[in-house]
Amino acid sequence: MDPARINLSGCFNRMVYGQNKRMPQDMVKKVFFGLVNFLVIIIIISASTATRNIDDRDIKIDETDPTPLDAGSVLLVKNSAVITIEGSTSAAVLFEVLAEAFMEKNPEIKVEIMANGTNAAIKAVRNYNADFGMVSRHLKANEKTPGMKEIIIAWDVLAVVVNPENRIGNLQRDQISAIYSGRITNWSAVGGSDMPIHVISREEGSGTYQAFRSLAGIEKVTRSAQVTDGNGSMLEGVAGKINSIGYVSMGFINNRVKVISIDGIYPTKENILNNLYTLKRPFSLIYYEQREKNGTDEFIEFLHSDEARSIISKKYIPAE
Amino acid sequence: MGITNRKWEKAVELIFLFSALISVFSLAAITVYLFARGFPAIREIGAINFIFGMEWNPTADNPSYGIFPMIYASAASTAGAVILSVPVGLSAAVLLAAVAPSCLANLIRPCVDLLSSIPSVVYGYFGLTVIVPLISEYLGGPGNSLLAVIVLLAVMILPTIIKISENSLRAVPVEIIRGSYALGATKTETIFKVMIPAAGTGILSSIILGIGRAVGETMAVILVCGNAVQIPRSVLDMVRPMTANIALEMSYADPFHESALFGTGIVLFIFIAAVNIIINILSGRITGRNMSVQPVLKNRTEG
Amino acid sequence: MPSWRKYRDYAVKTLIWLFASAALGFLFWILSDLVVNGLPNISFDFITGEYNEYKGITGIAPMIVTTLWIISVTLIVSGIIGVSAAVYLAEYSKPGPTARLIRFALESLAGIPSIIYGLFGYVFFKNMLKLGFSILSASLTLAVMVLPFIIGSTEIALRNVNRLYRDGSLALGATKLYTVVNLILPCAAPRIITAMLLAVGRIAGETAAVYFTAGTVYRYPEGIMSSGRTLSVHIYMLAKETGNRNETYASALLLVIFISLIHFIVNAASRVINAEKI
Repeated sequence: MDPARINLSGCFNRMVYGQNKRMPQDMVKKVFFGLVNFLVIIIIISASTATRNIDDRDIKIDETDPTPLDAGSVLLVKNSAVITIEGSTSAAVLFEVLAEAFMEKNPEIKVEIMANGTNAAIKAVRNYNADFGMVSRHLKANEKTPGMKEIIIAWDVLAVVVNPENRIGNLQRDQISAIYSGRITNWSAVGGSDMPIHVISREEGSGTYQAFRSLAGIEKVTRSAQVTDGNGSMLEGVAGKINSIGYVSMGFINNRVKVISIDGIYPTKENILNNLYTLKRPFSLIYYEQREKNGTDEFIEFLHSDEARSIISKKYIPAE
Repeated sequence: MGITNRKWEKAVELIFLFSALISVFSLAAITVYLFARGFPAIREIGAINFIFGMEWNPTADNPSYGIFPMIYASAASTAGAVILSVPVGLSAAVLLAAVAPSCLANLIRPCVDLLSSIPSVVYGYFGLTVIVPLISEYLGGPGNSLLAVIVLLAVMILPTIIKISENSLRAVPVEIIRGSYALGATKTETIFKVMIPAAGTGILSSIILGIGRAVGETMAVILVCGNAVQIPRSVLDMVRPMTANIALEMSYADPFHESALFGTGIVLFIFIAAVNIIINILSGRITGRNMSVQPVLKNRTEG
Repeated sequence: MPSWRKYRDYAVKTLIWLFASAALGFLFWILSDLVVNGLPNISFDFITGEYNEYKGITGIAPMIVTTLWIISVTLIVSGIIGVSAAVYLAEYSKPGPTARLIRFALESLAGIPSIIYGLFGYVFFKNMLKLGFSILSASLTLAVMVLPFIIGSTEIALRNVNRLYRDGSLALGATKLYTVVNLILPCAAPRIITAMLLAVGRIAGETAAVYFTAGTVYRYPEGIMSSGRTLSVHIYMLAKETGNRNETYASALLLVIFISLIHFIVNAASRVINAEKI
């Protein structure tokens, strides 16, 4: 085995050919049979282990209401100085900063945050695995159980943005829906100049995407839409193309894009709190009123303080 | 003493063997876990629907999981990158190995190293902020396009192609080069008719490595490709290669969606294995006729 | 010589120069873009400060610390396994099915793209072994990823040690293990270390595999079990989430400087090593 032979000259070379340097013609068949064998073995192995390995993240919520435990028994098992919060990944970014500020003020209380999705949060709160759940949408009726409280901490507002050079300043809600569904493809159809609309959307599954789709009433985003992986790439795309339209969370708006009004209403603070502007989703906390008092009251109180509100207003609108 | 010593020797040898076998275990674990997680989705969707399906809508009320446009995008972007990169890379390798004076070559070589030390995410960001707007302005279209992906990938695989090709060109025995000159061949005739054929295997393996890197590249691609799931009609259309699909949607995926993304990983895995095998067979045909010089690789670049 | 052959010669040479300078031109394009946009934004505060979107501070110190953590843990794991494996392959293994299997595995691992490693790390280290998003998960994933490279380079280093040393040592009655540990490994050490340094460059530049295994939390890591964001992941997160060009370019420039420094050290070291002809 001389050192020159270490180099990579193809994955399967050495396995099939052993010490031969070059591939003899009659070995061609063996390559294919080798590969087929390899795949068959793998598929058999994986098929047999497949069902066992599906994730523990299965988040079905059982329909039967869990009977709320009495506070005393919970107190026994839990460390009383730790608040656990689970839930939505997008809300978690905000709550981590809030928790940091809270812990600076209350060093005796520790706040632990786990970002694992809204559905997991509901499950965790119902099973008493977490004190609070962070939820980034309104709860459905069947998700609420007696005794569960939901307080809205902040509003995440979605702004529809276009390139500053686009002369469009307002769109109707159904026009937005038509543009994103691919029914309107030229700006002239909505009163703009004659150029094709470049639609920019977000990746499937992201909270912003789902909120926008349901709030704007879009059934299926057009296939020719550009898909960006975050607010930053979205801004980059809208700022870079004169004919583009996109949507971002209000906290990320910069001066390289233009926010347009929907049905004549701009996403100002008043319009949002008056429910005039509807492209918004709540970041809320859910919890059981009947729970252990391990600093959770202080935390809720803190969330309504001026300090918390000033943190929230960096990117979101604090709820009243 | 002698006996315990021998036992000790044997034990250490076993430890060494075990370390070496870790690579085998890892390969097995990677394959098994990838298939175990991706296979349930493929089975449920149906392999044909999954591989040849044209619609990708995992969170719709009536979800569809077809990845054919992504397979096509991966293949097209890789092919484009190789077509663009091989002439440039080979020229640079020839320049370094035979044409340029050695002092100049010694200046250029660190530049190639520099090119390979730029991480893929930086290439991606450069593409997003510089190349994409340029394409949009001068060639039209959204800018985020197959072309942007091809250009970035071509540059990213350049160092691999240059370094390995140069090494194998240098490994060509000086006797046959002198023989070529002695027969009256010009420099370029010697390069193209003697040196490159003689270094064939090495050049080919550099291209294989380049292809591997281009197919698997994620972070540079995801920022510039536009991510629309469609078969591009021109190089200015947006695409979504398989790697981008996985990275784009993993963080929010529910279990079944996630399984479909692992399924995309399986297809990517098989795709790379298939490309390697096909090229191996082709290379067997090509280099079988020519004399082949195995390159001596001091530093293997990342693949 | 007919003149058309001469002209063809010139034409082809020109073409070669043209293509090659296109490659160089692209390099300088990228570098100048990075320097022009990045350099003015690098400051002491930027390198030593923390990052927090809400407080409006944009330092990268926690990312640097996380990157260094991941580099060290990965090198420790892959170094120990890789060198032992290379010793086995270079000194102990005999041609046969075991060696062939190992080499096949190494070549296959080298061809697997990093995103697949990311998926593997996500399922195996994060979920199965319950390590969560952590520096350990990421390091183990990266260790598997750089293993083929480290084993390959180390094996070459070991085989480059002069045959006579080995035979001499064995003839003097030293055991094989003694010879390997006290003679061959020290002789090969410089080359092994340069290989490790090259691996550092690769680890620092890796994004996809780390993104799935270490998470994206931008705080200082408290240990190998805490989640963290490496510099390369930070660049990606900035690019996709904030749209703030200044800090993205500055971080990118720093990362490129770090990795190219490593490459230059490796090159200089290799020149010295080769000159000494161990």
